[in-house]
Amino acid sequence: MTNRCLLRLTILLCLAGAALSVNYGVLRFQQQNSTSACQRLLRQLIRSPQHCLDDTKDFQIPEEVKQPCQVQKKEAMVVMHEMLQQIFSLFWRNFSSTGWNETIVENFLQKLHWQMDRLEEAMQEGEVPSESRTMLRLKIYYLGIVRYLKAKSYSRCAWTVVQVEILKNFSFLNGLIDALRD
Amino acid sequence: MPWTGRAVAMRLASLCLMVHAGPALRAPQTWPESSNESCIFRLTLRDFRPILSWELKNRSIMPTHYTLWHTDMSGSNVPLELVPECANTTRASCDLTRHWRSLTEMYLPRLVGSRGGATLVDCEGSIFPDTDMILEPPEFEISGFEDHINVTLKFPPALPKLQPGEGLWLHLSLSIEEESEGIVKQHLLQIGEHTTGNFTYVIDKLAPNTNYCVSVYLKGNFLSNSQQSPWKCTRLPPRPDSEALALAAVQGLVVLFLTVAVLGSTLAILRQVGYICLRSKVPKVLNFHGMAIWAFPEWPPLEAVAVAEVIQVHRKRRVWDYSYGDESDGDEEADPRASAGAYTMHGLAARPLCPGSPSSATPGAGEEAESLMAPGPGPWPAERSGGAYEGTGNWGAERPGGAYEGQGSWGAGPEEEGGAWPADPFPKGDSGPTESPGDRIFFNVDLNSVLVRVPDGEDSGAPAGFGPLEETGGLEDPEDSTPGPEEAPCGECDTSPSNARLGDGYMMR
Repeated sequence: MTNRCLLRLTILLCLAGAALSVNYGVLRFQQQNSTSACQRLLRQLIRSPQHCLDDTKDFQIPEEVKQPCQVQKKEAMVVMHEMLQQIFSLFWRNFSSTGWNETIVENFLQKLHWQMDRLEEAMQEGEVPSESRTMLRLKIYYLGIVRYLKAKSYSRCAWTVVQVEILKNFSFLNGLIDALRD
Repeated sequence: MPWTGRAVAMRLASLCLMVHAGPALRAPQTWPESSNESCIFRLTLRDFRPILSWELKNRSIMPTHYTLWHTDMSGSNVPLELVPECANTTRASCDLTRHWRSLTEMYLPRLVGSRGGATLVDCEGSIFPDTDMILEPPEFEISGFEDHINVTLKFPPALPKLQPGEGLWLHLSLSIEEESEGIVKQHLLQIGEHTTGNFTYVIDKLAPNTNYCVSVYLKGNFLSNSQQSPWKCTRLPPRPDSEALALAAVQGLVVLFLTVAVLGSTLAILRQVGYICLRSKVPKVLNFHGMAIWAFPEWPPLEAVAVAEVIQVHRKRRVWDYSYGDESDGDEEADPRASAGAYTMHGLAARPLCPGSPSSATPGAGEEAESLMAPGPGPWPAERSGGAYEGTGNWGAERPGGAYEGQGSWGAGPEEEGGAWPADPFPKGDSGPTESPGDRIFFNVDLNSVLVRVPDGEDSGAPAGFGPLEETGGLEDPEDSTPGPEEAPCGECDTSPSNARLGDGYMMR
């Protein structure tokens, strides 16, 4: 009797574990679709960047983000979440004075938020790795963008340069999504 | 010095060339303030080479020559650079393989169109390859076999030589789709530095004798930027085994059909013969449903039939000694009743009722209780009447009282002392008993089916037909004065002949 109960409980736990485990295939599909959609919306916001050549700046994104190599899945998810969060806060706080198309911006922020939620759900499974040097560099990178905008007084060309830089960020996110492949 | 003079001449010539080609080749110092987007730029990856093409929005402007400049927003303050391959070109496109090497860079092209030295158009644009570049599918051919398809992809013989990690094709994959009967399967191939020349990919595990269509396209981050190639279809040849299987299947079907046909015909024949599924159907001629009543004649009224009473007579059988001598009354007396209505297994003897006539045992004949039954109408002669029969033929008839002498319908044999032959119910005309006893013909008559008609108005000597054989009983006709059974007239009986009748009409059994 006791053995039977233990056996059934074990089977139940295994099934529950299988059901609740992260499906990286689905997560990768979701992240790719959301990233592509955000990139398209952001591309629509960029107008005449050729007139802002004097305001261009190399923000020096970390190389391990630009070209991820042998990144663990958990670490890739943490980095992705940080990038999405920084981008969301960058546009959420300061876009009102830019004169951009509000519909495009709202859709852009909505998709960012949804993408972060999916990532947070997947990150709840298992342990979250502690902050690494990559995370520190990443935070410094986005801080530099914010300081640039402040220095340029959030001018149109400054925002154009930032938009182009964030557009590159989404291309790097695609590389991190590939790290979620089984 | 001669070479010194030549050098000066060359410098002067180049200076003149620059003066004349100034508007086209001189790098613009500044970008115009106003955005001039009168050109539509399009970047296409063709054979792993980024090709920038352009189209003027104002089609009325028709430059004859184009010059392309470009820069990017990498932040390195890259000045506007001339693309030498596309300087003063007449084509409306430019190969930027060696200039545009990163997918994640914002490139800024600038186009100057001129005609006869005059600048007709000066436009610029922005291209981000990761989102704006269109991926053209490579050329390919297919060849179908029994269970697989060879897809031969035509790649350029060599990739552009760039720095490691550079090239717009590095992060792309090639998708090969096979479609059959509405089902599409995808095969992904990673493109790398070794993807050069003609490359053959095998799609295996396919079904023979089936149509398959193949299409290829390059897959990037944005599926909408991929151009899918037209479908190329082929039908795989059937396997030789499949033909044999098909032939065997056809043969099996034929055998099955023949078997079913034979069984079905056999069952039909048996049913028709009636060996199985016997029909309980009444023939049509006997089906009187719905037939009009007039089709059936009325039954003839039943004739009045005198009641016949069977009287059991126990008497001894008399054996006829073939004597046609005198009819001795004594013998008769001895055996009136015994012979009355005697019925032996040899024939039918009609004996009227002879009252008082004792039943005498015929020597040689066993006592037997006999009952005399009158035959029915129909096949029996009409002259037959109730009572004893006496034929003129070979049959001997005992004539006790009450015996009937007809016209010959019944043969009456000679009496005998010892016995009497039963009367012949089937007379043979008027011929008398001329034949020897040995030639007599005996008939077995079922009294149950014999009817005797009592003629109307006949008197006396005619016996009333069959009469009961028993002494105790006899035919009674209350209307007639015919005496009772015991008093029934009997021609040869001791008793006086009487006019007793058994009734008119037919006496039915």
